[in-house]
Amino acid sequence: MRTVIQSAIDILSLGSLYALLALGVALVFGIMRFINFAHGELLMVGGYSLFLARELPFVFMILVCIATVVLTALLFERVAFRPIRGANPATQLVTSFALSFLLQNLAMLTLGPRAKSVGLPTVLTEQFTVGGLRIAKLDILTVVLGVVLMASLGFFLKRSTLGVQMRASAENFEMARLVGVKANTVIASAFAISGLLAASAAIILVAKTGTITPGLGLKPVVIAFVATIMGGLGSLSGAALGGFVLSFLSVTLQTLLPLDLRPFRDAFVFGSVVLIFLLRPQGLIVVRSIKERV
Amino acid sequence: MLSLTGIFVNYGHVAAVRGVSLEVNEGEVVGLIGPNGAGKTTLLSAIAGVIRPERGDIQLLGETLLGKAPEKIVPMGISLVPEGREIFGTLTVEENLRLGATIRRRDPEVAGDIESMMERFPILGKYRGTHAGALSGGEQQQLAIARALLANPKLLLLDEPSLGLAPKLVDQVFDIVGQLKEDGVTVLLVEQNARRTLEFADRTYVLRSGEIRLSGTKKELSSMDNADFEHAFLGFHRGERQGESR
Ligand SMILES: Nc1ncnc2c1ncn2[C@@H]1O[C@H](COP(=O)(O)OP(=O)(O)O)[C@@H](O)[C@H]1O
Ligand SMILES: [Mg+2]
Repeated sequence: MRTVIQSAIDILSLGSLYALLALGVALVFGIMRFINFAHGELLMVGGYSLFLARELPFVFMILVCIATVVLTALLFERVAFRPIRGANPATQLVTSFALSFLLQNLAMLTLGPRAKSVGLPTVLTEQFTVGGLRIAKLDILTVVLGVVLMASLGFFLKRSTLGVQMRASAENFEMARLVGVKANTVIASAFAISGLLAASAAIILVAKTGTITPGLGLKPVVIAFVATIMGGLGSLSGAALGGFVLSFLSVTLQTLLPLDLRPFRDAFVFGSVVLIFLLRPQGLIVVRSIKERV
Repeated sequence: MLSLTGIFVNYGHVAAVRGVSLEVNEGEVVGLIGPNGAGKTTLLSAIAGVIRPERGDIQLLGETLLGKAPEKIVPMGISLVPEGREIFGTLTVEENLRLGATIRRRDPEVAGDIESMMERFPILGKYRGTHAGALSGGEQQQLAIARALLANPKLLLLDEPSLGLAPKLVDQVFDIVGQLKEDGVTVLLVEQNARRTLEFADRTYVLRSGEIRLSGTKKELSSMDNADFEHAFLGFHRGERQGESR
């Protein structure tokens, strides 16, 4: 019983992180119709901004991180993706790869390949005990942050004018422009929000591991990518669900696999993902209106 | 109000529109008819800013539309009801209508206008909270027209609004356009329903293979010899075996 509760907490916490990663990628995909592989580097930039701001009070570190990542995301859009808007999807995909490598190498050159560490307030790293269960405060905070961000995003998309415009653009970008929705505004907003989500994920990630490297975003972006596709490309709730499914597989396999197989857990996780795709090639949630961009 | 001069549009090597000039005056309903593939949709897309013409000029009230993005052209007073309606199926009817008023930010009358649009098209009021994708073809057409009207356009472009609708609904669509005319909205109406459009529009242009083959007022065209009209429309006389394809 204790392991079950422990695992449930782990699944929820890791799932929240994965969902935030996937949502960042899915939001941009929804409108631009390409997967931004440089999303991982938003996490890296977030990590280093925490490192560079490490002397500041914690609240300011967080603000610096959010501001830096959102600005970087906007810069991505303006400098790298806007000039190739409307180009064929392969070009956009390759551009996002190129951007990703460029930034990793830039980080390597300027900040060095060695991991940097950041000390975070003990509030985040402590554990507390309830009924014999040892729970990391960070896990609880992660879940709360995930829930708050996802609920706000849902509310924003459902209720605000810009949110409705973003949903319309995700369904039919050309028609959205034909009713007067400004393409640049909607796209920049999608990048800004994906930056906000990346900053939150970066903070959680750095709080979990305490270290920052140029390759910080590599694994997260693969997870975001898989979760987004598993969720049925184009569905935001699908992407979030994909994140939780990945976390469920990951945590469950970690507990159930025999000890000598545990080092290969990720192979089993992604193997299960392949199985899911075989059973549901459309992804978990089928989106009716994915239209090819012309 | 709207004037096109010498418009050419290509898709790669396909010349879809070849030197079209036409004029729409304020308060008119102008018909644009022609067979499938004539270039009607292409022409409307060029006006709405979706496609950039190779050559020629498009002006609204003396101001050129060339090089302007679609979202810049809507505020100038042009709304398009596209072929296939293109309503936002995953959004509710009401959200679709709200989107129609996108360019009227901070206009306090928008909410009231949406309500009156729902009175004018009761089906939209009835299904305001429903996903628009669940509406029938005729209902979606009403939504597409209502959405376009909420931008308060000076000129409404309608691309085959009766396409795929049952005869009764076709009547309804023509009734709606007739109503718009009475309200003083200027309309450029693209149709394949040639006879009906001729009788309905103040003036009509016949487009075939990307060129204007015939144009005239309702009176001029309706007094025309049937065979001559068919020749302009189809490019060959009925009974002739080999027709010119585009
Ligand atoms: N996106 C496109 N790419 C290539 N050719 C096109 C495209 N759209 C239309 N065409 C071609 O342009 C011509 C005119 O098409 P269109 O404007 O849709 O005609 P209409 O609306 O009168 O039926 C046709 O020959 C059609 O095949
Ligand atoms: Mg057409």
